[in-house]
Amino acid sequence: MTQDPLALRAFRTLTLALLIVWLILPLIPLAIWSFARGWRFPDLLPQEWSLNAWTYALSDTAGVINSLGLTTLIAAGVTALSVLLGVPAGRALGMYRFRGKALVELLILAPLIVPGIAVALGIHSVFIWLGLTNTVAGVMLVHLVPTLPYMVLVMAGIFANLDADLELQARSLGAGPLQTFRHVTLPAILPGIIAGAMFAFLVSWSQYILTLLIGGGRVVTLPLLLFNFATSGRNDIAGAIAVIYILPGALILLFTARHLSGRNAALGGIGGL
Amino acid sequence: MLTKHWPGSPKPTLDRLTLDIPSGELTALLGPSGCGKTTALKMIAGLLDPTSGDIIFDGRSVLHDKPERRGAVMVFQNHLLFPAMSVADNIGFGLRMRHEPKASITARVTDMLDLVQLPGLGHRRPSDLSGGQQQRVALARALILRPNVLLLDEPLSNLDAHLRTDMRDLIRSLQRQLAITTIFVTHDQEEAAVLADRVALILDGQLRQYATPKHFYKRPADAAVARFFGGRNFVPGTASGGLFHSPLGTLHLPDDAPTGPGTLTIRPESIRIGTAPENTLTARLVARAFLGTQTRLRLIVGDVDIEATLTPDQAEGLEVGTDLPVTLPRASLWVLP
Repeated sequence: MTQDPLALRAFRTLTLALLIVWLILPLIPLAIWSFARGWRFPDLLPQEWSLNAWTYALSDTAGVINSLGLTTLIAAGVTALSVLLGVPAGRALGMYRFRGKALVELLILAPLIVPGIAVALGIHSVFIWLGLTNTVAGVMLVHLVPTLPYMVLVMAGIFANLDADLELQARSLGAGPLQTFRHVTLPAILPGIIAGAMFAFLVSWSQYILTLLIGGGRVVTLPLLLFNFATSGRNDIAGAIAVIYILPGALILLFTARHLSGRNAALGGIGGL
Repeated sequence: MLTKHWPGSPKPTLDRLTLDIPSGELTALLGPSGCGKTTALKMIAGLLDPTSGDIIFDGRSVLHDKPERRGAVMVFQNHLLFPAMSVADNIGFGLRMRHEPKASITARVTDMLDLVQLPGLGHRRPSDLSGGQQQRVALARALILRPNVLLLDEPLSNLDAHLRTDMRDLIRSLQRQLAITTIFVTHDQEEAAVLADRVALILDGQLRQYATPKHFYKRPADAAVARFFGGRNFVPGTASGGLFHSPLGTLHLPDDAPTGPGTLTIRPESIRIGTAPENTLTARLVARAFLGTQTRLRLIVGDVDIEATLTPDQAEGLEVGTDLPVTLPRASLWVLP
């Protein structure tokens, strides 16, 4: 790795810098807005600074803190469900051959192909009948539509690369089924679980349409709240909420960056899709 | 009577295999790839359920024992070391799963590393070892558990030729030393002959012969078995009164040879050039090929093709196109059904 030619390293640094600028730059005005007391067109920076937007955003009346908790709860729940369902499903698709496997694969991919809003309308009528509309549980379930395919596909890639005999070897050496999973299977699939879980969390975190439709305006997650303030012209408060909204994604990325870098099984799995 | 029949497959992978394997011995399951021998091993290990039949250890059926409680430890062909664990952790894996005390595990792992001639390599990662070393770690990982039955799936197939001999000797000496009942699978008849006390030859999912290695060369059960062990010469005819009548003429048979119509066989390396009081024929040498340690001759007696192998020294001076006296020693002849 240290033997790369200078030109390649320079190119890598340059593209990385461009990527960061491209991702970070649009966020800077938001951050500035959140500290501004009015910011009119020709001015490069606001005339006056203020903490009003932040004071309001962090106060009880704004509901940002509640909404942050709710969004976290939903995203965590969706992530847990995605892992619980996606790992076994990915194992089945990656390791075993069975009748109708191609159809199952197509059905799992379908939510990525069919526009989500179309599916959501259908789900909405079913959820009314089931009494799941306007509930957190309903929102969690509908968030699985975009998250589960990713999880399943990542895990299918991971399991396809896992030698089934490795588990049999552990069993033969005296490990029970749970010990085998804990000591042999889990270490091998953990990078995939982390990558998939990260995806699931962030996809759920940034859901707008599905939450609005199934939550019926009663389940107010951060993106809904953000949209309310943005459309009502409170750019300063919207800016503050946006900064709060971006934070978990940035944190997750920082914590898990090492799992996504280098010659990692997780990326191998994504590459194998 | 162990049978494995995969659903959807036209015939069983393994068909009514019956073997009585002596304790403490080294037994080879021999056969070409896809003949069902690995399937048999997995069933003995409890990693695969037989379609029908039973598996009995010391008079007790183990069919319903889970693999981790069976006392039969299998070592897979591609040694399957756990990549995230060090060599020592790999070897100690089974003992850790049994929750043995740490200190005793460490001591026994050290002993095991010495036994498989890898002292001091415990802290390495499996990926840092050579293929031969990995295979020895896999062996140590199984042996440390002192299994009732050790099952080895093609233990030598992934190794280079010179490592293969070392590994073969190591397996043989460890097996003797620890007296562990061992079953190993191989497709190489020579490997089976050198390593095993007894060999079970499986062709097309069926047990064809179960005997000592010597028997396979001297007394093969049928032509397919003889061919698998390098038999080349098969001459149809009739045996009666200790004589075999065939297009080769009349030959004297060993005393225990069966009678009636059959096929005469003799191994290429048993054929002698020169005359003897009995079983000497005149053959024309039609071709010869130098094979390094031996020379292969193609001979014709009447209209029967015969193949003989000699050492290059013995074959010195034999000219293609000349007639030679050829002796088929009585003790080396056998009649197949």
